[in-house]
Amino acid sequence: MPLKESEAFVLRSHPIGEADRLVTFLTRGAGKVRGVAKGARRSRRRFGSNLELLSRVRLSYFEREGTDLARIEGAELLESFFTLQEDPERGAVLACFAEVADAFAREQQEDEAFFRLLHAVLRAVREGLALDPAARYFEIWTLKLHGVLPSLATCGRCGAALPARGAGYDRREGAALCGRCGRGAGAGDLPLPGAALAAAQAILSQPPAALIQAVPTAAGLAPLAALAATLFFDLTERRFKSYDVLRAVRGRE
Amino acid sequence: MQLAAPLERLIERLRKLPGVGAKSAQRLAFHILRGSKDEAQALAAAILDVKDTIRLCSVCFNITDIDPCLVCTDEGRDRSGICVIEEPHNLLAIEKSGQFHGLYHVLHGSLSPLRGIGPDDLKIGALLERLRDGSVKEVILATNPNVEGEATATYLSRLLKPLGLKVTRIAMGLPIGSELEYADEVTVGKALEGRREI
Ligand SMILES: [Zn+2]
Ligand SMILES: [Zn+2]
Repeated sequence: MPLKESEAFVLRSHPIGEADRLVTFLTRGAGKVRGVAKGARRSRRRFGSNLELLSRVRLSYFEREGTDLARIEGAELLESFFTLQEDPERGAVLACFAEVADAFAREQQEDEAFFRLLHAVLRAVREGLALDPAARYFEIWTLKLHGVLPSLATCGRCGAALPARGAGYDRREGAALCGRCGRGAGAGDLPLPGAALAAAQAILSQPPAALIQAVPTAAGLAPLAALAATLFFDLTERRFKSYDVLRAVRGRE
Repeated sequence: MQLAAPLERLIERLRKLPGVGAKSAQRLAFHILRGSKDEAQALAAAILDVKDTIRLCSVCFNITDIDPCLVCTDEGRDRSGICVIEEPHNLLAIEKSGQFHGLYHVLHGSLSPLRGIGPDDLKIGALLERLRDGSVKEVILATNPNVEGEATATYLSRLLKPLGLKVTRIAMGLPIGSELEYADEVTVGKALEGRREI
């Protein structure tokens, strides 16, 4: 089998056995790749800090017959997001990105737009994008790129433009509904006030770095957090652990 | 070759130990078989003893058979400094360096969002409790030099600094015996951060 190469982010890395690490990558060209990095725990020379969470590396690997676990040959560091994660809250938000990316990326399935989304949001955080808009940006676009974000501009039932004063997300229907169509009071339904619809438009129409200057309001971002959490749960049927730790870390500070 | 069932069982058990492959497991099993019955009994008893008597020190959460542990009760140790570590085995590494003579506090992990480990899952509350009476003047944060260890150190320093303590972080950077050209930029950056006047 030929040696493959791709630019990649480290999404997860955990020790196996005495000396090795099992690492999950989001690659630019081949979707998710999981593989074993032999000797990564013992020899710092070969991998160094390159396999720390969200390192962007030039990954080289061999696919192996009869297993979806690749053999990691090398991971040359291109860009590190190590120091960003020294702040516990920022570290927890970045871990949320990694956990969500791991859940949405598919093995052997190219997803370059998703790779670029992760890169753009990480860069924007480095340049000073606040954590809440960064998290909402990543969540909304993750849903959008994977075809599961309901329209936040038009009513999911009648197709009319959602009114500026707001709408409601109907969980059973999986759609945002205008006031005339939606009762908006069913179990699990979420209010989407005008500020949230405006924040969603700001997120969907600009690169993440644009939100450093034009920060959406907290009143607009909070309902989007609830919407993303609901959609993530309904789609994956699991809770992301990083979000719980993020809440715990925030509670203390 | 078909081995006797009890021997096969012993080999299987030994193989589950870290670093023991099929060959070594076989060698160990035959060694035990050849040895005296007393030897075998002593080995079995030692294994059970560990499980029966070892627990966590109620002060520092080090593993111990007597509570508080030998470090915590050692009159010769400096009680004004506590070194915070992630796991009990980290204590050995620091003791071997011979550079620290104070007390320890074992967190039993580090902040690890992806594994769902938050502040409440670590022995942080007990650490704050130990610092209450003001006798400790310095806390050394010796968590691992990886993303989780760094975030944990930052988290702790923010909790501890308002208490008026000296809070220090072990220097990180280039391993002795390594060469600069092989080190990655994060490692070199950390080494520069931890530089001192000579
Ligand atoms: Zn409608
Ligand atoms: Zn103790």
